[in-house]
Amino acid sequence: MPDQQNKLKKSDWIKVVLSVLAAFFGVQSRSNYKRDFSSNSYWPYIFAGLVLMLVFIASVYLLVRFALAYL
Amino acid sequence: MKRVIFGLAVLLVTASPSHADWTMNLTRGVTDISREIYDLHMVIFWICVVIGVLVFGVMLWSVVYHRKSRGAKAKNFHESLLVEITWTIVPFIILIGMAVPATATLIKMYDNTEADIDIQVTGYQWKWRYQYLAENVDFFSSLSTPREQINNTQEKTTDYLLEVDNPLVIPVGKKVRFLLTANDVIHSWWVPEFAVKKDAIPGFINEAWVIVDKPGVYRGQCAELCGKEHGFMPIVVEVKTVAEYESWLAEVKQADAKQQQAAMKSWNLADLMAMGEEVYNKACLACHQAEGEGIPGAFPALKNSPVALGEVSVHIDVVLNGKPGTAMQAYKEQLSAVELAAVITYERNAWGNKTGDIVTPAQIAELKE
Ligand code: HEC
Ligand SMILES: [Cu+2]
Repeated sequence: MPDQQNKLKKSDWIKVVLSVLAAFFGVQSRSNYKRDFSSNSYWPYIFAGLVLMLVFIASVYLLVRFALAYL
Repeated sequence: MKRVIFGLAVLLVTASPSHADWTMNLTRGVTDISREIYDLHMVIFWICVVIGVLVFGVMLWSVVYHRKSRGAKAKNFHESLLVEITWTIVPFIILIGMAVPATATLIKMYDNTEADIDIQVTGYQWKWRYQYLAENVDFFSSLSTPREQINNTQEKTTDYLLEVDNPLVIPVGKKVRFLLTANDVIHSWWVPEFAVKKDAIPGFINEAWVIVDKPGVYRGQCAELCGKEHGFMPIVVEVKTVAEYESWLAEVKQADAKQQQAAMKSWNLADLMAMGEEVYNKACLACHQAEGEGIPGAFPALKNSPVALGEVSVHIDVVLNGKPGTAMQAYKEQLSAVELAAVITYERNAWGNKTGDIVTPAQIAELKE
């Protein structure tokens, strides 16, 4: 693993998360796309993608629980 | 040409089909759930209408007012973040808006708890079997439309192909749960007015339930292509008041007891032949055909068949237990001892099969034990 990863700043992580959310949503601006694809490592994106996928699964699960309880 | 179109229009307007007042829309039905489904259907229908009018309106307006001959120039841009986000979010909101009430209805539909009456519904080629699980009532329900109507030698009546010998009977206002399965292939039990259409699958049990709030006769059909007579296994449900339902139950039980007694009385050849022909026409004719000639390659002839002319016990065994893996079902459960004895006797003495053999109901009753 390239060691640049460890040097990601907090503001960079927010950008990564926003990019992954944009990917989930299916729409991304061209400038963000260019910025992401010129970064040094793809590991932060994969990591954020996996975490957000788990969050998504958990929220679908909770949504179903909520629907069964209140609808 | 104009004349023809006019003529057709007049025909459409004035044609009064014997199957009166049909409509194009979804059935509103006679249960709370069916009406909820109908309302959902209408809401979603109108949402679609609004979307359709808006989208096609904007499109047509653009085509007309920004046409080239008016000097319109196309804008040459590639991707717009705002537009893309809008057309993702708007359908999302519409879909969620439709999903919320639809989910509420679905949850109710799948709430199979606390039923007052459990009825097992089993699909057969090509009839339905209804077993009232707490009542020891068990019968088959098959098409009662005469073959002559099907073959166009008799005028068709209003309930053509929607009538049965023994309808399913349920009480009004009670929660009735159906446990659906099948004996041979996949069927589907569909009564539009109950908003119930559920697959009946061999080896599986699907559940559905109804609380009907209006006595009456409701008709449906098998909704899963299940073979040659798929269109000939209708469903008829009679919804009665609770008191009427109770007395119907008592009657059925009495009739069952009577039938068991009938098996014990002695029958002569003529009586058995008369009854056998009736049973044959109802239960066997679809495959083995009116003159016992069968359909070569699919259903064997019974006229001159080695089984119908040979050893009686072999013949009885085929009819009672069927031939696993073929369309020949086991009739042991489907027919009473008297009916079985009659139809076997009939097959051994009809269409020039002159064995003179009599199979007695008592003989069959013993095998049915
Ligand atoms: C769904 C179609 C179907 C129906 C309905 C049906 N049969 Fe059959 N029957 C068959 C087929 C198929 C066979 C051949 C089975 C085999 O391959 O051995 C057969 C075989 C037979 C045989 C053996 C004939 C021979 O020569 O091998 C007899 C007897 C028979 N059926 C009687 C009846 C009777 C009685 C009824 C009505 C109660 C009936 N069948 C209804 C399809 C049907
Ligand atoms: Cu069927």
